Amino acid sequence: MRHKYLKNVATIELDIEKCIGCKMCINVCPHQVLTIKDKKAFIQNKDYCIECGACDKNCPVDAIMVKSGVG
Amino acid sequence: MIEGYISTPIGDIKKIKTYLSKKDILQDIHTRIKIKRDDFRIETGVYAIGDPDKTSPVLITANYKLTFDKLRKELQNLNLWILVIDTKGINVWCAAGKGTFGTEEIINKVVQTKLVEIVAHKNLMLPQLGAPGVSAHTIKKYTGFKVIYGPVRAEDIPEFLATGYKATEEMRKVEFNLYDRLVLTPLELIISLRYFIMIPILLFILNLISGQDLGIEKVLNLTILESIPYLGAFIIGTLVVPLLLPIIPFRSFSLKGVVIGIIWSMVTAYIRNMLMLDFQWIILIANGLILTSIITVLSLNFTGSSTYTSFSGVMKETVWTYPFVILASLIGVMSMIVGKIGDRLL
Repeated sequence: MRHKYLKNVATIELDIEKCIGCKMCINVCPHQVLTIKDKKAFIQNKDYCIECGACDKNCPVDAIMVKSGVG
Repeated sequence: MIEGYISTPIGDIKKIKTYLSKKDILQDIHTRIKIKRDDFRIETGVYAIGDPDKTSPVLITANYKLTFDKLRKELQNLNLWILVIDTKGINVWCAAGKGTFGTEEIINKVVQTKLVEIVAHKNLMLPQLGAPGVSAHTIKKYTGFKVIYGPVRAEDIPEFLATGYKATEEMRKVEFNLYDRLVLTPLELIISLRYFIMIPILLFILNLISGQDLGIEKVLNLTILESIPYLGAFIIGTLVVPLLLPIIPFRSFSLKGVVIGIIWSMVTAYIRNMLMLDFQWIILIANGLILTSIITVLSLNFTGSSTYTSFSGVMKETVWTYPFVILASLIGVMSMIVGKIGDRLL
């Protein structure tokens, strides 16, 4: 069962131009927020994002940004 | 915890048992119920599991003993190295969020422990939930070691290793099932109970003033009876709401708390009526406002231990909730005072 939290609050943004399709963001995401589409990252479930910042921290080209707050 | 030593180019390294002793299990339970949990840590450094050599994988973990125990008990019959870093006795995911299970600390420990002399390969396996604190490409840049993120749960490590570091989708997902929620509840309840104490004290004072001619025994009995719904509210807010979380209406934890708070207020009002305690609307409303406020705040508090709440969402909830709760509590307390001793004051 998929737990659902508040909608339309997550601050995750993806800059598709910078993305190199390395899939690090997909590997580290605990809630399958991202997937691969046309060889690049794609946000498929923005409302499941918990803003942990793992994707932001592990993107080697700074294509993902998340306001992860105090942790 | 230690079953021997293994010699390496840089000295003897402790071999760790892969099963938990009765003492380990007891201490792990203690940490879940607020006994000695603030300094429940082990020494940092490299440890051995089984009989590892230069080709064996290196797993990185936190120095919180509960984390270490949960990890090592899944590693039976494996040969690997564990590098314990200093997370100040905090678990992986929380420490990662704060940056303590972080890039800098890992780089420091890799250098400090001379890991390059223990293993010939250049791989570091990290728990996936360490990712919020770790920049994999930065570790590669400064140590030459490549970070491989392992599964979320330690129990999947053997399979992950056996398939050549392949993680299934399930291994990378974090859940929040009944058991996950249950183990968090004792600590929440125990921590919240220190705030409960105020309530019987305040009620006692009010009852003493309003029931001067009743005698101390009747005043005490009344206070005890009236305190029970409040004790109930603390138990409901820290145990029942978390356990029933997915089936309570609304996505917002505060609103879930309000729903349960209103139900509990009605139940306790009904019982109070049945016990034929003196019936005053103003006191029933006062109880309702304060009981609901307590359960709402405790429910909101649970967002901090939940695995699917976002920082922005919790901020939004908090900003909305606190003004209402403060107002409701103030009105509740004032109504209670007026209801109980109003005629004494005027």
